[in-house]
Amino acid sequence: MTSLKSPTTPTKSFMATAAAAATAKAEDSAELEKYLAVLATKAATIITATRSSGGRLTSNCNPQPATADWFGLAIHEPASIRTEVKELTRDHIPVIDKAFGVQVSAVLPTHELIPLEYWWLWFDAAAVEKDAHIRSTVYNRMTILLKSIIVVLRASPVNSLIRQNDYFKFTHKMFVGDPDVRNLQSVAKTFKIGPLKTPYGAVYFSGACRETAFSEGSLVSHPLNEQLPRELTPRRSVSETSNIPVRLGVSNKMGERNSSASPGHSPLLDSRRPSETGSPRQIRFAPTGGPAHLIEAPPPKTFAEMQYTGAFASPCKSASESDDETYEIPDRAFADLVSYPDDDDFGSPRYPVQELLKATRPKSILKDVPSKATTSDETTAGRSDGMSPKSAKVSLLAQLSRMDDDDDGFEEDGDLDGYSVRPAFAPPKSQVGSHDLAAFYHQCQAAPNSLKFLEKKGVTVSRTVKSLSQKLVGMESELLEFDKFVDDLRVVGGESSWIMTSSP
Amino acid sequence: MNARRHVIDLTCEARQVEDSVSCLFHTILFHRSLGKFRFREDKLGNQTIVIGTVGFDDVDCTAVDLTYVRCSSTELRRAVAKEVSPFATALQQEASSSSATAAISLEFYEKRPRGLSVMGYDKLPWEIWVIKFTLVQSDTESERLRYRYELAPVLSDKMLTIVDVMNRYEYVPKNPHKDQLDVVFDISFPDVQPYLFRISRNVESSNPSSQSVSKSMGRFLRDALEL
Repeated sequence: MTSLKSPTTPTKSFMATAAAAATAKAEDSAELEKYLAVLATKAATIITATRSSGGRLTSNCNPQPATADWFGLAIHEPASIRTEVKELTRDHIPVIDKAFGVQVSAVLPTHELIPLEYWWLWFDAAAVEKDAHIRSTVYNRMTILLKSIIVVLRASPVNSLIRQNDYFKFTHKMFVGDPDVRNLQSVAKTFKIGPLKTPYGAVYFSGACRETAFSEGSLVSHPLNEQLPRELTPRRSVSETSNIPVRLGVSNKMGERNSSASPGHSPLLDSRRPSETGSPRQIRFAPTGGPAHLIEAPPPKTFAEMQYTGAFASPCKSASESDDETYEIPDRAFADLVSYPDDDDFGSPRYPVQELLKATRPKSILKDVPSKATTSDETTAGRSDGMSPKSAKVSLLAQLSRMDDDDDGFEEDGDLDGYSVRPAFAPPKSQVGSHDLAAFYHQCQAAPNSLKFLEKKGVTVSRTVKSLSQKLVGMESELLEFDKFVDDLRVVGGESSWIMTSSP
Repeated sequence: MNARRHVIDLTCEARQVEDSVSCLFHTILFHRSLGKFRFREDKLGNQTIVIGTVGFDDVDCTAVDLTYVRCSSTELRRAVAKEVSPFATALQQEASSSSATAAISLEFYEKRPRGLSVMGYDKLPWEIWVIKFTLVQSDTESERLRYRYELAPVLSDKMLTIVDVMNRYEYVPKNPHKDQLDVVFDISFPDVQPYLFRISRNVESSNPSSQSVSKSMGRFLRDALEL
């Protein structure tokens, strides 16, 4: 009886303490889950903003915020990111139950996706720190982890590719579960931040980026890649991937979207054979040999290879067709719409202009055919084969071509009533009388490349300076040849002077 | 307590020194900066701290193909540039004459009273980052480009080293009381609150021994007389 009266009995106090501890533990667990959910959202925001086109994420310091920002960092996630993270993690605890991450891919003009990076948060229940306080210690550590994520994203080689690129587009895709880094084909660099220890386990942040498309020994080139000459390209070995905690064989849940191209189907991702045509044309994949090895840079691109293909323009010539640093001047636009002496429409002997101008009285070489409307050969242009009187005009060379030996180049008086001129863009003789707009349109489409199309878009001063540096490097490499040439000249000159002085 | 000392060795051209130092120092300061503390007292007299928000922005290096992150605080940026720019300029002048080595350090410390409040404070460092430079000269454009391309991955690796150190959660001074905030933090900046830090530079040229001794003595006297 007495044991039921007093509230301070050991049994009840123990039960109260245990209940309080369980409550505290449940609260801590809930706090940790909440912190991890926010951490995942913030990390996704940082990654997507940094890896978007342009790759900048800036924010201002706020010494007096109205409401305290999570983790003391000015990272404002858009509603779309928040919604997407919630949707992906609605049926489990983010990071603890399944890893959460973001895949960054490059989008080719053919809408194919090439995965470039994987970044993900994962949990290891084995590493525990029981004394870590969730609301202060773990929270502060998460702040440092977020700052480290911001720094590491800039340290990745892909960051320079994104910042300097205006050709590719980049996209991201969130995922849960461990990523399959085999999609990267060859991993150049891996990152791992952690452990962030909690009473329930440790949080890690890992990353893996693709080797190609950015390393110095890159096998992938695109039109804006300005590569060093072969002898200047530093050799770097591919880092190993031993510290990636990748559990292969675990299926990934890619959410509702799964738009990435399968590695085995796209010819651009087939490392066994180089892509001949490529898309864009300048991208080539060299066959990879296997494990990590030193990679040499491909030979530098020629000017012809770096051309853009303008609208309605014919495809660029391949490297084998085009000469180094030369450019074939195309014909004038719409040249075949203008008649020339070599036109086959005339098909009559040609006379040099000098002979034609010998006469003391120059004749009027231009005649108005419609005004005369005669069947005389002297007044009709070229052959009288279907040319309507209204449209038939006499060109200078057509008139001259009809001169025979008896013709002293003078017209009879009275015939010079007018003149006829073939207008610009007039159809050739064979098409006189047919106003074929379609033919004109097709000829417009087949116009040769204009020099304007060769100008690179988005050329900045820094890029121009860079290109100048590249050219200077090329010139310096030729200095040795010139020096040798000059030395040879001196030797030859010296010998000749010796011969001259020694000759009697 | 012994301060943690981290030494970073770099080999680069003289014109790349400013970018390299700025990149590494701002990466460190970004991790070691908090928002401004504001103390509030509720109706019950309990004091709470509201911490401000730290912003950041990207910086593209001019002499290196690299981008780094720093706090978007103008005053903090000026404070770092005030020490780094003269160091880089002095190195460029020394490099033109002969090969030079130099070092610059970023030191985090906390103040400890010397005994009587009149005697001032001692500066006890708890973390020191030293960057040692070995300068090279490039005679041709090809060499200049080579150093430009090669330094970027080296600096990236150093940034990752800094990140690794920051996430070890080693000793960091605890948040002090409201009245002793300036013992641990530098409260002179209006928008951020980094831990107390100072930047020291040392340029060694033809006569390294005499210069280092004089500079060390000068620093000792300066610290001793500082109130």
